[in-house]
Amino acid sequence: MSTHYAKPLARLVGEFEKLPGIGPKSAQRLAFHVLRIPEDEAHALAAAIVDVRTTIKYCRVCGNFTDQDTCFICTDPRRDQSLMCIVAEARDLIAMEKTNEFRGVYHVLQGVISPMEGVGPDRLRIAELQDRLSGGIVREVILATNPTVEGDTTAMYLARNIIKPLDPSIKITRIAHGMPAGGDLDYADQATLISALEWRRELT
Amino acid sequence: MQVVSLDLTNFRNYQTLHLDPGPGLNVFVGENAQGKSNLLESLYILATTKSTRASRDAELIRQGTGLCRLQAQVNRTTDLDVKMELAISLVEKKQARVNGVKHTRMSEVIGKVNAVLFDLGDLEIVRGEPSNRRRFLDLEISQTSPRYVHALAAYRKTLEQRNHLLRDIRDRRAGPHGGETVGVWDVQLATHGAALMDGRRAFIDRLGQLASETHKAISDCRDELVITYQPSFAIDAIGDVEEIKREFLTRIDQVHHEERARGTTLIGPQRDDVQMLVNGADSRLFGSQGQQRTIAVALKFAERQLIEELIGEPPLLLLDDVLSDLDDLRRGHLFEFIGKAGSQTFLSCVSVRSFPPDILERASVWRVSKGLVTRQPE
Ligand SMILES: Nc1ncnc2c1ncn2[C@@H]1O[C@H](COP(=O)(O)OP(=O)(O)OP(=O)(O)O)[C@@H](O)[C@H]1O
Ligand SMILES: [Mg+2]
Ligand SMILES: [Zn+2]
Repeated sequence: MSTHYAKPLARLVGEFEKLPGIGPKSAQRLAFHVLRIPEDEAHALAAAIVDVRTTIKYCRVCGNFTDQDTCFICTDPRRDQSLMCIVAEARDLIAMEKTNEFRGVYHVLQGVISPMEGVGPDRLRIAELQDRLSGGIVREVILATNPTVEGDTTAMYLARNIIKPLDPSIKITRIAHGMPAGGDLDYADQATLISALEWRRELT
Repeated sequence: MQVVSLDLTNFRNYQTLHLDPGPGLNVFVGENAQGKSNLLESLYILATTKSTRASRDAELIRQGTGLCRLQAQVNRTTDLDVKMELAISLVEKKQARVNGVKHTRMSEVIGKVNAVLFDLGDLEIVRGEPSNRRRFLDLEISQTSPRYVHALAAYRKTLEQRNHLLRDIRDRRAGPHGGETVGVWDVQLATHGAALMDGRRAFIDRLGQLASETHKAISDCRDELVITYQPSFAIDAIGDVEEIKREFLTRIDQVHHEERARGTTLIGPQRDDVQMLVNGADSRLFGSQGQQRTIAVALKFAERQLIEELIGEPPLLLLDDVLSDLDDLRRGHLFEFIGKAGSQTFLSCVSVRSFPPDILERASVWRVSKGLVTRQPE
């Protein structure tokens, strides 16, 4: 296919194609878009990519993305340090933050246990988690990995093998999964309904 | 439910077909390779959106063309009548219309029309490897239990991950803490596995009983069929799903060392089987061809009955080549059964010579020749 394009253009199309969710058609559209926009905009885009790679790193404490040593959540004194939400990826943290509801702190595992992908506990940020929990400050841990087989397994492993043996007095909870709020029973897929039933609670 | 009209365009060896089937038994008679099985297949696809014979949808499109259409008007008693249309193309995604409303997610249209199909492949349920029987169970139970579908997907994923981990442990590639996670996978495996076993046990109990009754009648009360669930480890016949899960965890503990040495999961639904005894003998090993066919037919009639109980009206019954290997006595009883079942039935055969006259009298008989279907007598 690259023979249809001038070399530099083919190169850009090729790079776009490597991005997640981008097929050949979209890659071509994006590349042509880059050629159409004003030159300084294109430079700004390139600079942003370079900049993000040179300045962004993982927060020393929680594993979130940051351009400092410690991220803005970990340094925020208004955050409740006794409540910790464990997520698989930084993007899950961002999703949680958007709710403006959670006032505790996070711990990002940077993955879930998946033998098929060669990910065992040693590949996750579990040693860092043990360090944080042994301080005695955290009183409740919310396990917020996805409700997939791998997410469930990771949550169960953390609860049984890591958190409980370390400090049995820490309260461990798992996020509920089921019906989306404002959702229509009629339109929910069956797996969602089943899990909504499983996670039902008593009305008082 | 009743198919009142069927239209095919460029489907298999049919260029165009229009058919107005009769309400009861429809017999399609013709020589080999004329299109009898294709016609039954088209009805099955309209009900389930999938073929049991074709490995790829493209096989369904008439050679030399690029698009086939299947359409049926189906009148129902417990639900709205359905006009079901399917378009299968070489280039685009399969598309369905139900009463004119477009669907590309096939899961949304399955169940608008219900059909039970008997074809040659079903003999493998009786005489084939255990995997054939497990596939049959999964397919049938999935049709009526979303919970089972969910458990099946989760179990397969868990099993794959766990097997991978056990292999890594065997080959000493599991990493410093890899071994610790097996216990957690065990719990997942037991949770989803117990759900599957519970579903299979209940289904086989019910199906076995119905199949046994049908089987007795077709075999002229000569053969006694007993169908039993054979899980990879014994479970209490009445214990609940929690009990199965506990037993699962106990058993998996007992094979701890062996699993790590062999690098694979040794117990669970992936090793289940169904035993079919005729007069005390395993029909898989000792059954005659006619006996094996009788069992397969009985299973399908039992399935028909279960679906009727569930949806409140008889599903379509599609019987491809059901008569071969059966003696006249069994054929006679089978026809009685078809009559009693009350399903609109589509039956294919190469000759109607041995048919009981009263059955032929009441049936709609169609001759199939080179992709043309004509009503008999003309
Ligand atoms: N995609 C296709 N395009 C054209 N012809 C096809 C296609 N698929 C199958 N056929 C043809 O359809 C013919 C009839 O097949 P079918 O299985 O319906 O026969 P049948 O009448 O059931 O025969 P039998 O009595 O042997 O079971 C075969 O000759 C086959 O080559
Ligand atoms: Mg045939
Ligand atoms: Zn942080």
